[in-house]
Amino acid sequence: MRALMKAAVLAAAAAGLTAPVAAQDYPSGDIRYILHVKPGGATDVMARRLADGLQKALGVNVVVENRDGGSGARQMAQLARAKPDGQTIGSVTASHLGMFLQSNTFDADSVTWACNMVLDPYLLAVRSDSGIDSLADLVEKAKAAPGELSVAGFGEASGGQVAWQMFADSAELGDGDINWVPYSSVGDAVVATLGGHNDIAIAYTDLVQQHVKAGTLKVIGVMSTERLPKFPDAQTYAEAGYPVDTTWQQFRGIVMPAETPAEIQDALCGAVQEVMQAPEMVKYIEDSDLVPGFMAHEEFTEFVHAQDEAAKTWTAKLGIAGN
Amino acid sequence: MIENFLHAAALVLTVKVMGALFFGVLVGYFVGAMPGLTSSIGMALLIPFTFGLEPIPAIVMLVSIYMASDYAGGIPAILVNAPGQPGSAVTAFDGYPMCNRGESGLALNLAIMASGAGAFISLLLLVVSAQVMASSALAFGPSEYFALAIIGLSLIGVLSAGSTLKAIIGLLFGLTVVTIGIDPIRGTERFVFHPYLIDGIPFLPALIGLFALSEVFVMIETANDRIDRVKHASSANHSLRTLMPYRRTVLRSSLIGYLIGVIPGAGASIASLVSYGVAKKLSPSGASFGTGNPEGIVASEAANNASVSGALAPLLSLGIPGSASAAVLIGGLTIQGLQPGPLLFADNPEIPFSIFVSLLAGLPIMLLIGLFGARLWVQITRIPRPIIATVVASICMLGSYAAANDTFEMMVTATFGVIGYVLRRCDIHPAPIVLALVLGEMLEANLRRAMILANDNLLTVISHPITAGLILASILVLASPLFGRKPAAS
Repeated sequence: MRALMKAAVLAAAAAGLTAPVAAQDYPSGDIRYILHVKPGGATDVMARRLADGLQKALGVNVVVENRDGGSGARQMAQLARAKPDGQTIGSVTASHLGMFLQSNTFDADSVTWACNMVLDPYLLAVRSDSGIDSLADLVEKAKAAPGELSVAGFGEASGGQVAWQMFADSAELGDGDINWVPYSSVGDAVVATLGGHNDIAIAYTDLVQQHVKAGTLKVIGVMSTERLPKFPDAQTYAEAGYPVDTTWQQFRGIVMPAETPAEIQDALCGAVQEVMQAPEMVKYIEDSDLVPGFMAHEEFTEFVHAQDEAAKTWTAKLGIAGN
Repeated sequence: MIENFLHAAALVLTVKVMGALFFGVLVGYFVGAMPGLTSSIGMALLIPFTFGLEPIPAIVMLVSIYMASDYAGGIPAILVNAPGQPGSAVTAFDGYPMCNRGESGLALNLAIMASGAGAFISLLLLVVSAQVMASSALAFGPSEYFALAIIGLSLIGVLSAGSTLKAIIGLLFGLTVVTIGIDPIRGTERFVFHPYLIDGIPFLPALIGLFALSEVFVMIETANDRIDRVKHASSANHSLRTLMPYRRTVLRSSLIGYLIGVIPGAGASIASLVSYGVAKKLSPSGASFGTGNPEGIVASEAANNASVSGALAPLLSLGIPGSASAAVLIGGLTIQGLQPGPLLFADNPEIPFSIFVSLLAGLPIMLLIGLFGARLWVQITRIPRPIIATVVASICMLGSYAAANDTFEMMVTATFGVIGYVLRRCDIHPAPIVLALVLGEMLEANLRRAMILANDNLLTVISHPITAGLILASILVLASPLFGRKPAAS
């Protein structure tokens, strides 16, 4: 009995010592910020800007590491290995949800959803000389010649593919009317479309706006409730007569290893929110046509699980999940 | 154009920018010569330092790291068989045998001069053709990449020094290794018997193991053999005239390197392999490639440095990264508020032209460091074998750890060190394995993408003009030993 009491007291003391100390001392050293994307893309650039801001706000180095591959699984493996002390954080986007569906190792509960930063609506872009002028035109051409057209996007069962299938479903496009071609990044998909190897790219503002300005690509539809300021001529899906659930957007947030204490999440996300409101960050978000969408831990976790459910429903419906 | 050049020269030739250039060159030499650290890692590490800089010094610094690391990658490849950069693995094929013959001074000098020449020629090509070449970067879609991988693999017959059967065994081993990890199209796990293998066997640690660590095991075996590797090493003094007999190879390899560099995703490794294969095929002394033929070093180094300028062409004119390092450079530009894309030449001509000027200004600096440094580096060959073996083994482990900050990579290096040693004992050259590791995923992912695009009709895939041309060329390369004249017997 005494031994048991002693053990209980010791355990309580240990717990009492570690938890608050961890939050107070946070960050206790340099922070590793692990990205699931290659350097140079939109997610990467924003992460580097955030890292720079966090560095100033928290007074420690924030070291960005690119661990791209396996639709985010490589990065997840890194996070799974790290201690849940907030010294290791990771980028997260909607494409992780697709990976969770296929992976035997990871799911939405493999990480802690610390906070969301921005939302990024999907859009469809084609070459300016493709002869496709609108969404209606695209649907008509696809139905006239099934299997002729192809859409390029990131990975299989990714956020982009689910977004594409939502449109295809709404437009009553059948299986095989337009082929889905998975690339290793959205950037690669845009390049393949620019080169005429694919007809349509499902992408974001950042990756296409230079090519639209140069007149080589055009945006034929945006998956949001309102038109995007950068592409005022591009109809929303609903305007074109293909209503879809526009809450399905690419999101960019921060995750931490599973079971990271809430205090540590709050400490980091407070700093994140601060950085997101700095004038140069606000301007960057506007320039990239991102939608500010800060969500703290609880709200973000709820949002993600709702999206995860939607992803499951859609991929099961379309039979595109690997497992 | 001339006006742009003068304007850029005025921007670059200031104390601050030249300081950034010099610093970049030093960092580049370090990450380049250190197996495991690549130019893209070095650039990514320095990205945070560019936040506080103005655009021109920031970009000049990043570009000079990129350039210098490819110069330096050949140094450890020649001296201790440890390629400092993936692209310099090919340099080791002939560089290390030369070093073992006591010709490390000559090998190092040829490597640096060929690098310089390759960089200079490709820079000229870049200046005149950046905007034209951009369209050829776009011409490569899934079926063309598939064909590019096929022509790369067809070089196996050329690269295999001895038995073709053994080369094929090496190739199949490499291709089997690249199937490990996530399926590039379906996204499902394949042979992921350890959770960290989800992204496949990491390339760089495997390369370090195959080349450098396996060499350490050989060194341990021969620790007591008395071979005087320093015999000619003191002659580290060579004028540029040393390169003259190889001028055709330099020109050809620079052109090959530049053209392959332009194609996004095909970088220094593929460029040096292809250039080496072509040089071996065309050279009258082709049979001695792989046993310490200086021309092999020239072919490899000129091409891998030329691929750097090549990768800059689609980056500057379209905003498309041609390599991992080019992708980091795009990140660096974006952080400076510049949008690399089709409008960069029109909106910010000072950026591309500053890059041209800084590459030119950096050239003599890099050559001088290289030529003077060679005198110091050859001294490494004086160190007794047991000590050098210990140091190289430690550097291998440190380098593979640094590649991903992870002990997992060290285990990969150790495993591949043992595999490499066993293969060596069986007389299987690492070249076919490197070929397979570099091209495996490109081959598989793009064939499957092309098949989706063609609704599973293989004929449609190979009927693309570039694809058909490349596949035809690879059939000719494979069949040439059957019909062609016998290579001049040694």
